[in-house]
Amino acid sequence: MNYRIVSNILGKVLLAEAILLLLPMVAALVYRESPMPFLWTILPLVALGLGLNSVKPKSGDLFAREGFVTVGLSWLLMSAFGALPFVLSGDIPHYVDALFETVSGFTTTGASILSDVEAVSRGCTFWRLFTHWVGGMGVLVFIAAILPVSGDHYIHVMRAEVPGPTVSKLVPRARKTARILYLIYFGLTALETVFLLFGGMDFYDAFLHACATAGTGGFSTLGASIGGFNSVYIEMVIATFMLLFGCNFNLFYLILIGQGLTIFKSEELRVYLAIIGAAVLAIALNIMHSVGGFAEGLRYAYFQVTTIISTTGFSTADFDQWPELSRWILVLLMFMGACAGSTAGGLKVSRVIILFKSYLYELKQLILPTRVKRIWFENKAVSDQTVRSVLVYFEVYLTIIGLSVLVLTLDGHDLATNFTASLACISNIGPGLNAVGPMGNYGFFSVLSKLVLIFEMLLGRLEIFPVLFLFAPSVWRRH
Amino acid sequence: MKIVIAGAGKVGFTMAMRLCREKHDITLIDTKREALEAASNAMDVLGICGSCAAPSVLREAEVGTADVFISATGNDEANLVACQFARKLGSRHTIARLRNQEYLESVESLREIMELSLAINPDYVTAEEISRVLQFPAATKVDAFPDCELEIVTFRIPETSRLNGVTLSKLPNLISQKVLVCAVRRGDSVSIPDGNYKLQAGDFVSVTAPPKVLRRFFIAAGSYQKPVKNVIILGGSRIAVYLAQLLDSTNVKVTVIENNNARCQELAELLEQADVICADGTDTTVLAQSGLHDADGFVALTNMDEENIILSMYADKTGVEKVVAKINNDKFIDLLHDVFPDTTLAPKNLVAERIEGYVRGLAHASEESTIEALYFLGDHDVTATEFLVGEASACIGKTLAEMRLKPGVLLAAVIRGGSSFLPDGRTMLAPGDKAVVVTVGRSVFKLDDILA
Repeated sequence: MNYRIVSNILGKVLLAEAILLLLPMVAALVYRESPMPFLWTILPLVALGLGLNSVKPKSGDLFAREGFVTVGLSWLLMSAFGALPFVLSGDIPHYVDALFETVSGFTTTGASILSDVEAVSRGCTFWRLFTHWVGGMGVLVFIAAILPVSGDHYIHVMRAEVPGPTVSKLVPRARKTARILYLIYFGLTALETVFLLFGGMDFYDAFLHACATAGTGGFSTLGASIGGFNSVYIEMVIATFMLLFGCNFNLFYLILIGQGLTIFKSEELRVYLAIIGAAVLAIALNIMHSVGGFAEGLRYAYFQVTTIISTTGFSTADFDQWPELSRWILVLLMFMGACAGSTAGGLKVSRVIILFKSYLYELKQLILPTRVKRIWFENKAVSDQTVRSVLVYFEVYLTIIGLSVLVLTLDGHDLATNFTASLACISNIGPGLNAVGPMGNYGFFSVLSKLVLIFEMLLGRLEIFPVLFLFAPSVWRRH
Repeated sequence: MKIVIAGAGKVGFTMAMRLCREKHDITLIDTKREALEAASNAMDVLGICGSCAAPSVLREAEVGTADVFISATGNDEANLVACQFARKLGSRHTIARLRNQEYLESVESLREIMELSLAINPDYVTAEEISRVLQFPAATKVDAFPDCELEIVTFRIPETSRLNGVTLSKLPNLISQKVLVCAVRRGDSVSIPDGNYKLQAGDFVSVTAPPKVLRRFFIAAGSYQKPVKNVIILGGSRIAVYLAQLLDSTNVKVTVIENNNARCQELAELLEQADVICADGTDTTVLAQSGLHDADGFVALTNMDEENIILSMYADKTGVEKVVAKINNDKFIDLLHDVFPDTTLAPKNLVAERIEGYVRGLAHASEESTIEALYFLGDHDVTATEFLVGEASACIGKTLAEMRLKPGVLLAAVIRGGSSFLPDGRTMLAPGDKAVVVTVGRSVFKLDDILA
């Protein structure tokens, strides 16, 4: 393993985090709060960052192994440091709680241990919501976009960080691809901020909620989340942007280069939109009697479906009180998540499509064993390798959820709470059902359970393998 | 520049690698997904899976906005079709790899009809390169500048040479012929030597001069070898055919050893003069029967690097004066640099070098200078670039002594009106001159880049 290049990139990651922490520090100054919690985080970050970065790689060799390790370690270190402002400011006195909140932020989960988010200082709230934006597109992609990194093999790092079964470049250069992705990301965030400003939010709320939507995070400045603004316009704007941020960013690139119509050829997008449509309709019909009419039903259903499928986790209504059918539809959506190549978590629509097609394939193969047939997706025959990796991913996903619930049960809560907490964390959603429902929080879990959930969130965001890799001895062995 | 390369085989891959290093944006097209995956793991390029002769695939690769389209698949016809489509779709320059001999014969009219910027035949390029070193066996590599009487020759100093232990400033006292020592490679380090540099046996030295002067220089240095007169070629590939034809025209006796009977029949049809032996060339008895002991040249061109290496070493041991081996694997070439007695070459690198030179010419043409040709002397670190001096160059109007050159840069020759000379302190460049610049460890894209 090329430890030197890993160290070099880790140094850059920490320096980038130090720069990003300047924003909440400025916010703290603007709102006449003490900037010290941020300053005391930035200083050790800069020191360690410069130290690690000063290790100059002897060779530019950077392969899949180094890519995975770099990404896994980067996220662990970033989270460890990112938790410091919460502890230093006293907003979240316990380090494990602060770490939970930070990991939840970076992984764009949006699960909170806070029972009163409005009591948190403005600087820390800024950092809390801003972590969603940083984690959404990924900090290593960010580094590729702004800093000179040895380019030839950096794609291995991007592959490990960008969600989805395959990573496709938009343009020949990894660096330019990263820039385009961030440009789209930035543009959409700015657009949403403007829309929210029109809805009567102040800039602080508008910008932070746009950040939280962009990363498909789900933290809010209000205890009642988006419901607290009590505005249909704001709900619709945020719901629509959640839907957009759940789309593959390649599609936005196609629109940018003037091939807007071709995006509807995307099988994944069509299935994604169809599922949203069907789920909204079903839930609206299911809840119309309790919320006072079909129109109101549509309003709540649209917001709740987009927030869950995009794995954001804002709320406008306590869906935990809804009929069983609606609750279960939402749980199913929690498994799936949104499109590959978006900022969303979950299994991803494309994996679910391939999974279902492989079920059908196996069925037909039983009837006609001599048949030779491939699974098709996006007008291309899918390689056996890809199908296998999707199946394995699904298995590992279920295994992790199951084993985590095993630990959570030690706390003595009910099955629905434990299961949906585990699912909501690995899918990076945030709210689950019962005690961890939209009106609840994760504060009551024991330290051990919180650590397990932190681990799950990281696994979910980095698509399991980069994090699991860190625990495999063979990765660290010298060759 | 935006460059689309069709074909991610040996040639396409190598070209992509080199052009990617030159900071161009590369898109690769290939029908094999594995080849594209290997390429995108090794370098920062975009891969498109599909046939390069299909307009839809070319559109997906955005050939319309490409500056250069290079079709380097193994199929000539596919390359020609792809280039024509690319041209129609809007690619500014198209380059086709052509290996068929019939196409080679009518390459000029093909270029005109198909609007090709360049047609390149890797096998022929390789054969030419081999024939040049066979003409000048003392050298491991010979690069000739096309439009004048000037060559850059790279050779290894033998133990017995008079050059062994000579300080460069004393060289004119020892040998009266005026040559310019451009670069010396010792072990892994390459440098442009100054007057205090002391040559040693085993050094790889590149010198520039007209061919006649070079010949007299080598005679005086005691390491001259006569042009090869009797060559054994192992393996009846296309390169072998081209080489045999080139050698035939200079009255060299050629023996081709090929194992496949059907191929031998074809060879016999293509080659009038050469002896074609149908036998297994890895058998030393066969080699002896084919006249290895009388031969003064041995060229190993089989498809197996290992065979080529071992048999060349065997030929060298039996006393053949000039040994040339085709080795496709770059790692092997690096490993063998100090062990292998003589010339090694890889067709894919030769082609990639040509294309790299051509693309540099396109990418960096300006009022100051235009790149006419680019040569790699032995390895990637040492290059000789031929610049056409433009009106706006800052090098005009100063003597060489007044110009302050960057370290690692040498003005090796000036070509003026079809004749060439080696520059000295009083030399002044004029617009329309061609300046040959040798660089070590750096790339120059404009003539003015040589100034400190």
